Amino acid sequence: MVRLMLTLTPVVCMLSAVAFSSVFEHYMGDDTKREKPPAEDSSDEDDKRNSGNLYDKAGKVRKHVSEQEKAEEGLGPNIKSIVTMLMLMLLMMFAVHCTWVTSNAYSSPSVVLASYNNDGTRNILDDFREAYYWLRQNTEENARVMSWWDYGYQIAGMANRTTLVDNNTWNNSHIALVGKAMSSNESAAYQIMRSLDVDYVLIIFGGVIGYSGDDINKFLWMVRIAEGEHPKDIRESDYFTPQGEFRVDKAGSPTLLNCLMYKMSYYRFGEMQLDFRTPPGFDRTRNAEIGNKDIKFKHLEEAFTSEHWLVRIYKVKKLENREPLEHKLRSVVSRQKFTSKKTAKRKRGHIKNKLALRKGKKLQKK
Amino acid sequence: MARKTPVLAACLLLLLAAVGSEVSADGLVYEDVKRTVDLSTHLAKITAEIVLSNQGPSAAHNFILGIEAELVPNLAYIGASVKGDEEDDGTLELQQTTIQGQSGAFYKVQLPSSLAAGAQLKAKLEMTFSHVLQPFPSQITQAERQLVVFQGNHYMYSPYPIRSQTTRVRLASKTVESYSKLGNPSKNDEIIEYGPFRDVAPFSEDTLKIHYENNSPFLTISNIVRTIEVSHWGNIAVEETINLRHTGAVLKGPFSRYDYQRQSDSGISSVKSFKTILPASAQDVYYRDEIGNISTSHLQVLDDSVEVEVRPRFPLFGGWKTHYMIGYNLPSYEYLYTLGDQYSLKMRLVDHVYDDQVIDFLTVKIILPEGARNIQMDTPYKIDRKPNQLHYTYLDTFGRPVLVASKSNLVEHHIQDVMVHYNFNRILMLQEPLLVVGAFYILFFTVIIYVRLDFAITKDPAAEVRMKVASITEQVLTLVNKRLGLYRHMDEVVNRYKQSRDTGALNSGRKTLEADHRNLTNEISSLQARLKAEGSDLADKVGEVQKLDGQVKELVCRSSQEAERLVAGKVKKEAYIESEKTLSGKRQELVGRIDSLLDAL
Repeated sequence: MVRLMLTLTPVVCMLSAVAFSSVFEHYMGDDTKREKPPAEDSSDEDDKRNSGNLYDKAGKVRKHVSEQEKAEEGLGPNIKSIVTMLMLMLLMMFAVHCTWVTSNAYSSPSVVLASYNNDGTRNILDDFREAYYWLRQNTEENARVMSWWDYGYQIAGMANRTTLVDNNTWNNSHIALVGKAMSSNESAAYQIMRSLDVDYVLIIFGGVIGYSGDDINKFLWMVRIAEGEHPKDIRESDYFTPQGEFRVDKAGSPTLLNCLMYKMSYYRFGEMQLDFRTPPGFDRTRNAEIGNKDIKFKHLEEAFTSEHWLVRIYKVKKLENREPLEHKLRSVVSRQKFTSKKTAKRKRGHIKNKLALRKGKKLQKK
Repeated sequence: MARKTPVLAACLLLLLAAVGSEVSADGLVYEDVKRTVDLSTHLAKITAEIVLSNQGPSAAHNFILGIEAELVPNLAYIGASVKGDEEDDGTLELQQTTIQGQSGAFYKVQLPSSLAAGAQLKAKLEMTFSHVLQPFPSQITQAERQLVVFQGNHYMYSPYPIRSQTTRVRLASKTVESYSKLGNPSKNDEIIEYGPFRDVAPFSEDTLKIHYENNSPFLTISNIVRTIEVSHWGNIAVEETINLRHTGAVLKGPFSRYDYQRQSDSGISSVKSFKTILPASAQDVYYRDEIGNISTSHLQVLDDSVEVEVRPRFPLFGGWKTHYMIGYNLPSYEYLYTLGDQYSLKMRLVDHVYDDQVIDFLTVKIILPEGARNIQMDTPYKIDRKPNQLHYTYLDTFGRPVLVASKSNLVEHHIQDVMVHYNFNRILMLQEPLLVVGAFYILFFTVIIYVRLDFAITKDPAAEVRMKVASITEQVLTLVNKRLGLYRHMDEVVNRYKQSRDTGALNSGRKTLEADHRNLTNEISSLQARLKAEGSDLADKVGEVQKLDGQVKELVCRSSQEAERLVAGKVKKEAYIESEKTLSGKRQELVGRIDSLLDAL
């Protein structure tokens, strides 16, 4: 956003050019004799000046004259040269300053993060590229990655994998589906992920290094977009506490503490103690100790986490071959011993009124 | 018939004797073999110290080494040397042969001096096998340790009988799941000793199987392309593109970063970083991949090498791979030797990437400067030469010759020098700067011609007249300015006269002023006439200028006269100053008017 200041550049350049040119004109030009623009030869100018002033001739007589004429001029050459020099130095140092400011403030790539230690050394956090390169090298060519749309182009460019939504997706319903998957609990999200045929899920988590642009901070937008398309399933108010706050600690709303995004961000984070002063599971970005520390996944598996936990990639597991039933089999209890009512004549396979046949005797018709 | 069979039988026996005992007819026998099988890394390195004795009737010039058939496809390097009293680095020549009826590969080793009958000789053999350690179980989770299986031979596979041999196996760790026990081996810590086996027949095999824990890095370079670009301007650029993969037990299940960071033995067989050793004069080292520069590396410049601690973007677990490029510049005076028109390049065919490296496939490309001829390549070992290619880069007209060679299954022993000889005419070095100069020359020449071309369809007389007038005016201006310069010069002369009181100089100055003034005035008048001929009204202005100029000259003469009078003492100083002031005032006014007129021109 700092770079938006550069839109003022043309205006500032013109105004400062006007200022500098008028200063230079005043201090560099010979303004006493001439009112016309300088179209003549320089020797003409010199001659005129010399014929009038003659102050650079070393004659005793002439000195007196020249001092008189110097007073007439109004601005001595010393002041002129000092001011000119000052202005030139100002301009040159401005060029140096601009180079420094551009390299420091206007050129942060935002894919590579840098932090500076107490002694000034620079610490580079290359987590994004690490995770994207891992995706590029160690997943199948046609793997599909689900993430929030901010990272779509980065995944397509650096990781070279198919994404569901990216920065140029106009299909709001599709983005809402992804948002719904991130905001629902794991089983509902798994259904959406199976229907979209997702292999990997990628999220950004800034709780270890205090990075404030991570997905938990963007989470409410995911909820709002999902609510716009699926108002019956997702309600934004569910994710706030009864007092109306968005909290990730124990006081947070249970819907938030069990949604997929929360679980993916804080998986195994509850055991991590970054600092001896803070309890384990202390989120540096939200400045809170997380509420749900014991997170277990049924359908997801942690595939890769980058060095400073900035990017977390989960693999979506296929359905088991046999799903264990959630309920017990219904057992049939027999009340009494069953006795058959079939006599010899009423047994199955028994032909009623079968004619008896005796050899040698004629069959008697009934 | 009955009489012929014994004859036939005798002939057959002789034949068999001749053929079957091609080996034992040599009479060579291994008296003692001490074999060391080093399994501490991901390679199997077998070294054997053998005492060879010639029990046959005649002197032997060579002996034959054998390798079991199962291990032949994994053989990366085989070498033999003779142990003398002094330090020997004379590796002996090996030539592949076959023995009828026996499986496996055989190499004939040429002895430096023939071994007389009844004499003994100590030799040292070295063999390196890659990809023989199979991870078993082939898939492990992050918390488990990596176990591998090695299948070899208890005995040395040789075409000669061995009187006594011992095998010592060095493992990577103390933990051994199982190992084959032949002849009561002893195990202490990492070493298993298979006791002395006596009088083993030739070509005998007995499976040696060890299942043990090996957490050493199992990295393999599946493909490496090494490009060496030689420039006669003093620089050799080397770039290596490497595909690296972890060939140990494949990671099964999740990768937990928390466990990896907090527990020291989690992912113990994974590779976090390795050290690449570059030549000592390597500069401008870069380490990047397809998506940009990789910032996780450390460079350390030592006396005899440059060490780069290369850390891939992510730790490599089993089955994971990565890809990167590393490149550097070398000064050419260290590797390129020249004598007149002959040049020789001596560079390593493949360089160090990490310790105990295994390269599955290597491609070497050497790009020589344009115009290199009679190219010959001497390689230290056999490689496959592909046809030469042409490479086009900056300022190339007919392309640079590229030597392409490839080889598979290389290990650290293959880091040896290759010599490339070629001829290069020194004049051709000028081709590059001349091309740049020529390009600029053509550009400027074209522009010069272009601005002088006139593509106007109709002639515009008014424009022509205007142009003529403008040129004449320009000339007039220069002449007027010159004239005004004359006056200034005159002033200088007067001042000098006032100081030096040298009348002669003043007079000479006056004379030159007169002469030059006359010349210039004449020229300006002629130009004025031309202007009038063109019918321009500027002629009048020029006339004005002439008149004013005449007055100025008057004033200048007057001032010089005054100065003369001052010097002579005829006039007082104050009066002189007064008169000077008035004169100069008048002069300024006149000059101002001249200026305004000139501007109007």
